[in-house]
This record gives sequence, structure tokens and C-alpha cells, in this order.
Amino acid sequence: MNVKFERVKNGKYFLKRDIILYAAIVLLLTGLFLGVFLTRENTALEKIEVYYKEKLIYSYDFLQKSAIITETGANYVETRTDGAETEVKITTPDGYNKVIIGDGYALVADADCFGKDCIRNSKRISGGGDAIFCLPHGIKILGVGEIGNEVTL
Amino acid sequence: MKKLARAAILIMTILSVCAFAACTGEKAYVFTDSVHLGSSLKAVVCCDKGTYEVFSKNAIKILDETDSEFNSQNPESFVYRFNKAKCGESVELSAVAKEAWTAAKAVYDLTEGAYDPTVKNYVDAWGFAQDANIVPDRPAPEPELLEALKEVSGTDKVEFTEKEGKAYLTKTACGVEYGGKTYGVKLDFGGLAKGFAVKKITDLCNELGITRGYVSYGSSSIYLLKNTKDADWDLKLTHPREDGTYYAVKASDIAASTSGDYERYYISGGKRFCHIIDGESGAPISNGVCSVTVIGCDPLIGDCLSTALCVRGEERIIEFANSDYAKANEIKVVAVFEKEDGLRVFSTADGEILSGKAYER
Repeated sequence: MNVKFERVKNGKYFLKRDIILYAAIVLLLTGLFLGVFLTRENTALEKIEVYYKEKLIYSYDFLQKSAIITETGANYVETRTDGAETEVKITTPDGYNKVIIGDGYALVADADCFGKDCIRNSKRISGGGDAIFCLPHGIKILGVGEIGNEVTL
Repeated sequence: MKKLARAAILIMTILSVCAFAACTGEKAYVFTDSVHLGSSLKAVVCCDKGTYEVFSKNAIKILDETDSEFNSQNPESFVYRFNKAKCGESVELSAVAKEAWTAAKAVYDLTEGAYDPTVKNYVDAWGFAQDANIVPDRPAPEPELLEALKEVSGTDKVEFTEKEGKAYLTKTACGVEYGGKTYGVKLDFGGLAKGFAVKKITDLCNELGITRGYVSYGSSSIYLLKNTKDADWDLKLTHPREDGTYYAVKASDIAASTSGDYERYYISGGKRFCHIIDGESGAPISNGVCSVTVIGCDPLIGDCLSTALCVRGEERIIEFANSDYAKANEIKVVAVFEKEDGLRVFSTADGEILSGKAYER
């Protein structure tokens, strides 16, 4: 036992600078890990963005509970809050779409487009990557946040 | 020896940090398009920023090419040029158009004509043209018109030839007169264009090494890679009569295509008229088939096949699902039929029609 102990001691496997280096590496890895996981998007739906002909006109941030009407959107967007729901009426030369934003979701409640594809089948945005299109009106509503596991065909 | 060990540990640590940093450089990008093919495309792709930029640039190229070949309103497109051609005139097919024609003809043969790319005259007559505003209570076309259009419908009215490395389609039937108007043979690739685009964009994902995400076009065609966590997606199928979905299956690295009577339709005289035309009768299907989903096919073939199965009806759908062809190609079928007492769901997995309400599992 003593012989082995002496070998280890003489070999100096763990010099002071080695320990400093390993500690630095561990700290770096921990920092990177925490940096990534504490700042990652961890709610299903963080934000919705509304586009008219590919230009952002309105966005609603579910985390901050705040909305932004862009400069382009100022011509088209009217909002009204009633209790927990916000109604966003988008009126463009192509027609109107009424978007309802609730707790963690958004949907189109009414529109004057033909076909009304944007309303049918209760299409609803409840996660990142979810989207509702109104092709006749050139409106796109996009969910921003973590992509879920569900895909609907 | 000690120095070597320390150097090895250091290198391994640096490599681990690099690998970690590389992984976290990836994120899920959402690509959307709603200006091509009169529908909306959505692709979720997990990759780094540089790869996404290459992906989006090339995806737009694919969509431009697909739209310019299949859009019957575009004078440059193959479909437009063919539809305007005179009797006996040959029109050269581009590589894209040749691939589409070959797939369409293969499904036409496989389904004994149930998928028919020459039904465009009927589609227009019933008010389902690409740019048509679908209105309820639309009067049905005159039966005499539908009878006359038989003269210019069917793939036997089109001849495919290859000469000196080039492919051609020739109209072999001359125009038919009705109501002071001349109707010629017309192609409609609307039933496969979305599947074609999904296939090409999926190929692009493979070329770029993108293994997680999906590519979907409208509510008719999808290719599922792995999900964002590198596992299966929960694929849910839209209920053809109620809000929500009726069927769910775990799937990845597979395509699915759906056709049904619930996407483009109108009600007239209390009856539903949908955009899926039976080439034999020249009328919208009215055989009780609400929806057919084909899982496991090439997206291009799947788009044609799901439409063809809608035309063929319940008995032939089940026959196909149990056929050697479907088994050999690992194709699964899920279908919804409307009966007097409600809807019935058939799926290959269950092997029989399930009684009661459409269900979710």
C-alpha cells in the first residue's frame, strides 16, 4: 500500500494547474448548459405574429401580455380587449378577419373571405409553428414558440 | 505518458464543448409559403441558420418551378400550353412534367382509371376551377354537356411518346362542340402538384442533412421527418364532418396524403358537391366516401392515390388496403365513410370498419 501511495505522490497526477484547468472546463460547460436551458423557449406558445401579404402587421407576446401594431399594421389593425380575450380586427382592401386571442391560443372567429378556410374546422394556434392562412385576404397568422409533437393533416 | 494523458483529456474536452456548441446552434425554423399553387405550404426544419438559408432559397425555387409547370393559368406552364394545343399537336414535356405525367398514368393504370388527370373540363363545368369562387346552390351543368365532354376525357385521348431523348404528349381527340363553345382535351395536375412539391422539398431536406421536421402542403400532403426531439410525430387526421381530428397515429420518416369531400365543396339542393370528380360519370363523387388518407406512399403517388380511392368507393378502398400491392409497399389506408346512421372509420391497422363514431386514439 505504501509503495503504491508513494508512486502516486511522486507521479503528481494532479498538479495544481491541472485542477484549475479542469475546474475552468467544468465551469465553462455548466455555464453553457445553464445559458442554453435557462434562456430557451419553454412555453408552448410565446407569441403570435400576423402578416398581411408577407409584411408583419401585428404581434402579441403571451409572456409579456403585450401587443405591437407595426407601422404597416396601423392602417389595418383595430384591437379591443374584453375580459381575458383580445379581439383583433384586420381590415384590408381584400376584406376583414377577426382574430381572437385568449389564454395561450389564437383563432379566426369571423372573416368575409370566400370558402372561409381560415375559420373552418376550428383551426386554432396553440403552439409554435402552428399557422392559419387566409389565402383570399393574404393573411397569415403564425405561432412562435416551442414546436409541439402534433401535426394535423 | 502523463503529458499525453493530459493532452488527450484536454482534446476530448474541447471536442465535447465544440459538439455541444454545434448542437445548440440548431433550432426549429418555420418556413411558410402561400403564393404558389393556390394553397399554403408549411415546413418545420431543425437545422442551423446557414442551412436554413440554403433550404428556404431552394424551397422557393422548387415552388416556382412546380407552379410554373402545373399552374393552368400560367401561359408558360406545360399544362397551359397543352390545354391550348390543337388536335393532333404535340407538346414537349419538361423533366418535371414528365415525372408528373408518369406518376399520374401509373396511378390511372393501378386504379383502372379512377385517378384521371384529364377531368379538367368536368372540374370547370362543376365550378371547381383553380381560381373559382365556390358558391352554394350552384346549378348543375347540363347532362348533355357532361355527355359531350366524354369525347375529350380519359387518358386514351392523350398519347405519350419519346423521341431523341425528349418526351411529348399529343392530343389524339379533337375538340367537341357544345353550346357554341369548343371543348378540347385538358389536363389538370392540381391533384398531384402539392404532393410533387412536398416530395421535392423533402428531397432537399435529405440533401441538406435535415432529419427533423416536416413538410406539409395545405391539408392534403405531408412528409414527416423525425420530430424535433428525434422521435415520432403524432399525426392527426382532420375530421371530415366535425371540428377537430378523428384519428391519430405515431409516425416518422413517412409521407401521408389525404383527399376528401370536405375541403372544396358546396351544398346545392341539400346535397354536397365536392371537387373530386369521377371520370366515368363526369360528376362529383357521391359514394359516401368522406375522406381517404394514404400513409407510406411516395408523396406524388400518394396524392393521386388518395383521390383515386375516393372515386373508387368503400368496397374497392378496403380491397386496395388489403391488396398485395399495398402490403408489398407497406401502404396503410385510413378512410371515413358516411352511412345513414353516421360515420364509419376504416383503417388498415384495424383491418375492419369500426362501428360507432369516428374516434381518436
